[in-house]
Amino acid sequence: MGLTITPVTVQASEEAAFESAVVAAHAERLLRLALAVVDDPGEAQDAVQETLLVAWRHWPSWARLANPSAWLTRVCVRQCVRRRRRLQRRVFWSPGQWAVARAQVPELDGRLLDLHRAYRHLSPSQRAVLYLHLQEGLTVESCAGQLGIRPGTARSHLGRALSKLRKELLDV
Amino acid sequence: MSDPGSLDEEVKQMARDYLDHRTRRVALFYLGPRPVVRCRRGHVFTTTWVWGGSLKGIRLGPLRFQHCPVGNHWTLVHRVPYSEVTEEEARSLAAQHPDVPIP
Repeated sequence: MGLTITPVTVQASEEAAFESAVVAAHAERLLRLALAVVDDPGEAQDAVQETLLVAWRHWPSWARLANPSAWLTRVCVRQCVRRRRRLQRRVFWSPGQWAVARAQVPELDGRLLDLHRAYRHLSPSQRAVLYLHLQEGLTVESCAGQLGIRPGTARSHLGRALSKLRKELLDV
Repeated sequence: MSDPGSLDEEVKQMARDYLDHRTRRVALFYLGPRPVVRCRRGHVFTTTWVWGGSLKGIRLGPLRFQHCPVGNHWTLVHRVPYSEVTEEEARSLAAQHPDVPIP
């Protein structure tokens, strides 16, 4: 007599496997990355959710991914870029969105506040490379691998990002 | 005049501090009504639910992944109609803080 597995059981076990391999292993890291790339925490959270949903759709072929972490990073940054563009297109803000903007100003002082102003002028790609390099400690080559870009491009993003930050700090 | 190398290091260190601050802190945000959701471990909490096209398209029905503040874990959650919230859960909801901040 064969073992009967109901669809509900299969779905539940797949969900558990997915949560363990993807959500538990990567969600926190992706959220930090998204928070570095987009200015709105809600958008960052949604970018991570979208990333996880894309991953869920790819779950049947997950084992074939050569580097799941890099794949997730690329998807997450892409989601952040989409959301950032959408945010920039908004002209009129609702009261709720003003609350978001107000909440966005971190409790920074002195030169970190100057850095915060300069950071707002960095592109999503520059932010992503800066975050991966400085916070995750990746080499420029690894950053490029994670983002699916050439090392020279990653080096250029990092150099320009640091240059903008340096300029802001020196100008003050 | 300061050494360009040490200035670069100083800028990098400041950028590290800034990114650490920025990514650790998730600001409170309120963009709409806060529905009740239940995570896979059965925890019930309120959240901000923003529908997206892809969320509607998923075959599993209404769900999303997010941080559960009750169990302090990332999980898949389902919306729960208020009519299905038990009395005990309602008391718990009233007592607990909302789902933010996320670590």
